[in-house]
Amino acid sequence: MVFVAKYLFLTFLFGWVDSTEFSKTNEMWIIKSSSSLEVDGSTNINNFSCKINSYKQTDTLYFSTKENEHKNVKVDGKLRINVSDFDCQHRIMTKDLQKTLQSEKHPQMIVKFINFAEMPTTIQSRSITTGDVEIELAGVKKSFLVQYSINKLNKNNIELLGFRKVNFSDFNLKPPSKLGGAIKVKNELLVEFKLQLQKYE
Amino acid sequence: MQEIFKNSVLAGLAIFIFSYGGLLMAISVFPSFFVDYISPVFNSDGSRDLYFYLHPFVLSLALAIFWNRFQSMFIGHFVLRGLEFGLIYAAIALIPVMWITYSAVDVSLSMVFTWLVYGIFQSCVAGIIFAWRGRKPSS
Repeated sequence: MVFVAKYLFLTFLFGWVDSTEFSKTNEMWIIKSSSSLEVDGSTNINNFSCKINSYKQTDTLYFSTKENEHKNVKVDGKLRINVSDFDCQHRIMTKDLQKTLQSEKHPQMIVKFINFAEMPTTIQSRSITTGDVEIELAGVKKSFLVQYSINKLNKNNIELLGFRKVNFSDFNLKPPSKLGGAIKVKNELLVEFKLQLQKYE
Repeated sequence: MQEIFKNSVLAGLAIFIFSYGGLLMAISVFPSFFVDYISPVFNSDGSRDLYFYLHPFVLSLALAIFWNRFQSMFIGHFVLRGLEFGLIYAAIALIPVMWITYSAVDVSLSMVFTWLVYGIFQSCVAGIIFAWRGRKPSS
């Protein structure tokens, strides 16, 4: 009986704390279909740039933080990118990238947004901010800190340009090497994503 | 048999040096031509690199057996004998193989053509070495 009373008291206490001290400010932003992603890399014979020019769908990012606080923003939302949509402007290289990224076994690359340094509405245009993302590629998840360049188009529309260097080896992938290693793709890739966000009101 | 083995090893070493030296030089001089090699058609995980580098020795063994059987048919200066040997190998083996490769595999005509030239070069190198080793001492 005493145990039940204690349990009810603690449940009430923590429930109350959660609804007051941890009450949140929320924002919802739609990732527009015009968002794009680019992966730049190089080999010992050329450079390549593989793009997804249009996201082709919309998704939603939920930003939440403690009330009246605009820092340390928790983000909930994902980009789901079909690996087969990558286009390297060279048919053979496109096929090779898709094979390297195991597109048949793992058809989607998932970029999960974890947090953001600031709430989108409070961000100044032409400023730089950061946030953590988790990238899932070829079935392997890896977290990265991404630097964003902000372009505030108007009150309800912003453009986030995210840059991050990643390695094939971060995802247990081996960069392609041809003709006994005479032609080698370098391990490092630069991932650039341009997110077109519209505030949902 | 010993002659075949010696010819095979010597020609294999020469083909190895000339082929891979030439390949690396061509990659540095004409890098854009080699972009087509970044293709899923070609093994990319390094698991078959050893086979790739053993190719000169496999080729030289086959050519050494061929030379041993038909060397009496090649006459003249050793360089000419070697070149003729290389061209005959290209006519009876390389051209048909390249033809079927182009017809069945997703590779460009220019790529197949360079393989043909590469193969002729390799067989001529082997032929010249065989003919040089088989020179009769001048009286």
